[in-house]
Amino acid sequence: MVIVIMGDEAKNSSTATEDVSQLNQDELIMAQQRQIEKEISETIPLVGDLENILLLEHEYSNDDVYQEKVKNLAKKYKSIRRTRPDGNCFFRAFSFAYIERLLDKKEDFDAFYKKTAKSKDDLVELGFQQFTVEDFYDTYLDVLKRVGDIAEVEGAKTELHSLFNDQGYSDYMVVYLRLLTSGQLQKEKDFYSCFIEGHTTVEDFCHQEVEPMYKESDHIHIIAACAALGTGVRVVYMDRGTGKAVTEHDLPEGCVPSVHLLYRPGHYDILYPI
Amino acid sequence: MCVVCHLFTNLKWFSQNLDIVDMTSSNHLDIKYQWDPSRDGDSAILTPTASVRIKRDLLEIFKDPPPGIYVVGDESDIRYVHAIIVGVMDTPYEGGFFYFLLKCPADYPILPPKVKFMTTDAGRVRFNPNLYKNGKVCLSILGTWTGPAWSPAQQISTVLLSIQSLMNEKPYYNEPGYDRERTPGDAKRYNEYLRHETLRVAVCGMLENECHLSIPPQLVEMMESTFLQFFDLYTETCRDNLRSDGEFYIDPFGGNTGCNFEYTKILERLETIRSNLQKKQNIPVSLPFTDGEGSDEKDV
Repeated sequence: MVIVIMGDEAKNSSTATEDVSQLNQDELIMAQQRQIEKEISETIPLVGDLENILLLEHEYSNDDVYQEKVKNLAKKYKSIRRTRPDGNCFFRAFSFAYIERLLDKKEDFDAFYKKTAKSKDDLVELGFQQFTVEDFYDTYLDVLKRVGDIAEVEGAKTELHSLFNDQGYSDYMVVYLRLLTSGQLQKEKDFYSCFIEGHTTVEDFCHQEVEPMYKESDHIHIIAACAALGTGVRVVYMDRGTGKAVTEHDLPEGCVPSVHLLYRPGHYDILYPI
Repeated sequence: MCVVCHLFTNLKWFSQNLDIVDMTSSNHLDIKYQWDPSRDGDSAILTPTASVRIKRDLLEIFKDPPPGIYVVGDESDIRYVHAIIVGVMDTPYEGGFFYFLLKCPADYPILPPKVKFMTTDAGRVRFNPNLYKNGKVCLSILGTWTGPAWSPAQQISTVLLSIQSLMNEKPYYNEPGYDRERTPGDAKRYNEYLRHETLRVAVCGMLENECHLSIPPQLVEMMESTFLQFFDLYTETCRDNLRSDGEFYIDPFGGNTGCNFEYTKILERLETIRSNLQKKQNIPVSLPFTDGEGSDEKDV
């Protein structure tokens, strides 16, 4: 333990009062946010168990609009897997659901493994320092290898689920997909720059909105993440908007989606089609 | 998305299930020292990947040291990193030794390190609008300021380089809302104040270790050799400013009022430090480029 001595700080009472005045509002909000995030993490698993889609109705027992929408949803989807709402939910849900899906088809899984194995070099070429991406890359490949080595599909899925609920593994999987997404955006920056508002460059956008943990995802993140993994996703929107049906969006447009996600304002969960 | 909006979406989503923390209540105290590596009360054990990563961050700095940045890992606790930033030439900080204590959280680099600025003359000098007297470092990647957040692809040197960039030629303008001078001449007056405090606190104070900081010996050695190298620069700055001795300093941010410029006294301290160092290092009194013993006379 390091002992830090601040001279005669104890005598200097003005410092203490200054501390409080120097705590600005933003910081209190951030601290409060951390507090809330911590409370959330203690109650909701990173990636939940499979649940019957109709259980969603309980969440909206007093809300006819939503009840109707859940019924509609149940015509196409049999189950849902909730994810922890910590700002990483898109990346966590997408990563988990895609790998889970790949486990059903050995050739696709192997092709994805090979593609991922090459991805670190692309990132380094884009200017990421090798050692700062290495741990995340290693963990990502390690998880793929561990689940890929299990011959029986259900066993592999159980292992995947348990690794995604281990904070260490799970967060590293999220970081690596964030980095791959950032890499994709930077590689195709001419294309993506039209989707970024204001004068922010693609690089700055990546540093500010993609690479940091807990930053929520927008369309642009989703499109780039899909391109990075070479797949497509269907996002099913459920909000209080008019109409009985939920709205569907395939990203990128016209794709055959491999992953289905339920979007409710600010959050993504995984859907399983009938 | 800005912090406030981000919080808002979160709040909307979870407020049904959670009691919202009252920001004005006694919670204040816990939150107050969250930034502070020496008082955060966090004793969580590093994950294996975190400790390997800290070592790699340090190795990277040793392999390719950024100019003016010196780091040493703590001998007894790998979570702590000691760093000194030497003030860049042509800034009011030039040649000063600015000591920072960093502490990596258990899941580093998912979360950024916590940083405390230690060269504050025991809480009396605010060396920069973003470096508070109490040691707090206001930097968005540390989560203590608004702006771009930390990302796990960043490293310890990223933090130190960002701090170094705050310590620029005109730090007055770092303060939000001070993109124009409040009173004409403030930016220059702030620099004069900082130049004096750099010599008084970040050079003499650090070499004498008047605040009893636990600076690792490797960094002390670095300071001592750099001091001797910069000695002429320090004394020249003092001599150039001798005429302001006795005047009150003006800190446009309201700190340290009622103190005088004391370049004469600083000159004396510099000489004493040098002669002690020379005795300690057993260096012959005559240095290159000086005529014998009388190096004092050289610049007169």
